[in-house]
Amino acid sequence: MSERRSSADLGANAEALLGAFPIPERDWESDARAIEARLSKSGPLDERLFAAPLPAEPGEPHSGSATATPLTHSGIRTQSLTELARRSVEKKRAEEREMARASFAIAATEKPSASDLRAPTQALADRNSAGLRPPTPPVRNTEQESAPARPPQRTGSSTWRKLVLATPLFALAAAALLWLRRPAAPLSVANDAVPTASTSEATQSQAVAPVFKQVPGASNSEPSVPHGIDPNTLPDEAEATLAEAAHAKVGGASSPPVAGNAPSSAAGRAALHGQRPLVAGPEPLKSAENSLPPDPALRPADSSGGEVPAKPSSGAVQAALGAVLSGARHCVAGDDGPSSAVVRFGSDGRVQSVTVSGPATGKASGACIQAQLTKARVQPFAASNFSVSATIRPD
Amino acid sequence: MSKSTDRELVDAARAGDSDAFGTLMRRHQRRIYRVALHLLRDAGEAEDATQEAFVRAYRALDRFDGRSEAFTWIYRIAVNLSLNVIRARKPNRKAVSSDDPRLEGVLIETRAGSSNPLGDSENRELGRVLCEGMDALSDTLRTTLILVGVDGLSHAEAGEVLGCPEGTVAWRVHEARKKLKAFLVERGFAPQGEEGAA
Repeated sequence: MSERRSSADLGANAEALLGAFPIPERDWESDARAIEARLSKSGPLDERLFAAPLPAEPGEPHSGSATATPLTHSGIRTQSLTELARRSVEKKRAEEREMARASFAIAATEKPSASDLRAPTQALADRNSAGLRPPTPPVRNTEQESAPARPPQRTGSSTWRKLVLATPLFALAAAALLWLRRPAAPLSVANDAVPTASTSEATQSQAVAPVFKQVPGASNSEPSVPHGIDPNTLPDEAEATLAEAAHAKVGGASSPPVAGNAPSSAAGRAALHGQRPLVAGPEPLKSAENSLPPDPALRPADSSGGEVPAKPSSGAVQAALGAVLSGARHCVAGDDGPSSAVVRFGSDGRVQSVTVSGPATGKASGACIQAQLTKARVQPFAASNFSVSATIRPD
Repeated sequence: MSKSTDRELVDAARAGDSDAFGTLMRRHQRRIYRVALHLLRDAGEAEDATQEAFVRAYRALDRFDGRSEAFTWIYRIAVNLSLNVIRARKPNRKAVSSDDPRLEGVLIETRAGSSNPLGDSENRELGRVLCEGMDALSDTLRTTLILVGVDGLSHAEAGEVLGCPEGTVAWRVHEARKKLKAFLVERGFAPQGEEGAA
């Protein structure tokens, strides 16, 4: 018997008694005859006797979901994967519909300003003012669009009007859905964004950006520690955020978007697509920062400008190490187990030293790790130095 | 005729064959009585409810649409009749008395094979506590547990009787058993292997 079943197991004796609860024997035949004697008599029919007898129990699962979900004999719910998948898809679709409606509402508020719609709707308004039909608002919601019961004599003009009005709405809806369906930007930087040649200051300060896969503004989502970085050794995020907030006040809008201080995701995505943000929010940071590569490892040490924080933010450290860790992992491809490295950053944001321990110690792979991790760069900070440990596992 | 299915008997009874209904009645009479007895805890009321259920079913045979089993349809009528009686008398009866007909059945059963008097006594006490625990449940949970746990209906059959999905029946049975278990543990009847936990 499974553990789940045992939560309602009454014990052997009680189960046996419950399952075969004896009843005192009766003279069943005389009972049956007594019933048969009454069958010939007619009587009233009570409709309520044929109805479902009992109310729902408090906390009872909803009938629909309970029907759709098979249950084991003990009453434990066992959802099938199909059912879970179906629910997940339905939930996602419902969310998308909600978002699409919100987008429609926003689009509707902006719609009168669209010049391409103004002409036909104005013409229609003129026709309406001539007594053909009461004026209708230029933008209607989807329910109104799909509502039947149009008078037959209006079919031609209303169809044309519907087409005119529906086309941009559908275009907006499609754009909104595409925007919603767009996968979240990866947090880590693709390996091919890491330069492998020179790490000299001159090269980096030129900020000649190769093809980056990182999306601007992506680093403002929940900071996720790149695989291999010990989060306990990262600087305190709250402390760093405070320092960055002070830094942003001083730096103003031209401050670079250091990790954790990027524009909001909606604005960032809209900016990425060359659109105005749909929802009012903070203005996206622009101008000087746009000329900088988004990869902190490739930024010049003094690119933050203005005051320096006490420590680099954990997001910046994660991003910097995340960018070079994949290269370091290639170094230990043939090793038996993971190696550890303690990376020490100097106040200028550059790596002062890399100490490798583990199977790679003393080998060529250790030197390779040192070379890769030395490329990491963070923004300058006030402290003299700080260290962070990372684990490099073979791919 | 005794080998006819319930559906065939109903069809024959609809056609005016009262013997067919008599056969159907004798086939399910005992189980209907047992359910009524557990619901009503009174032999006389259970007998009346059983009689009434069959009589009402016979009068309403034309209403039986055949989408469910005939016996679950009669069960539903019996359950509704029993609940009507319970609702009418609810404030008056709570505790399990010594002449509870359910316990009478347990006493008869243990007397018949009384090789272990101590075990018999314990069994009677367990039966009494079990009855008390069932009476402490809500009508909904108690009725579902009686149909499934005592009478042995499947979840699908109980769902037909109660007019709810199988999943709901299963949930109710599980809830009822959980509460019944807690009741038993409180009174020192922890399942074997869980005495320490209790």
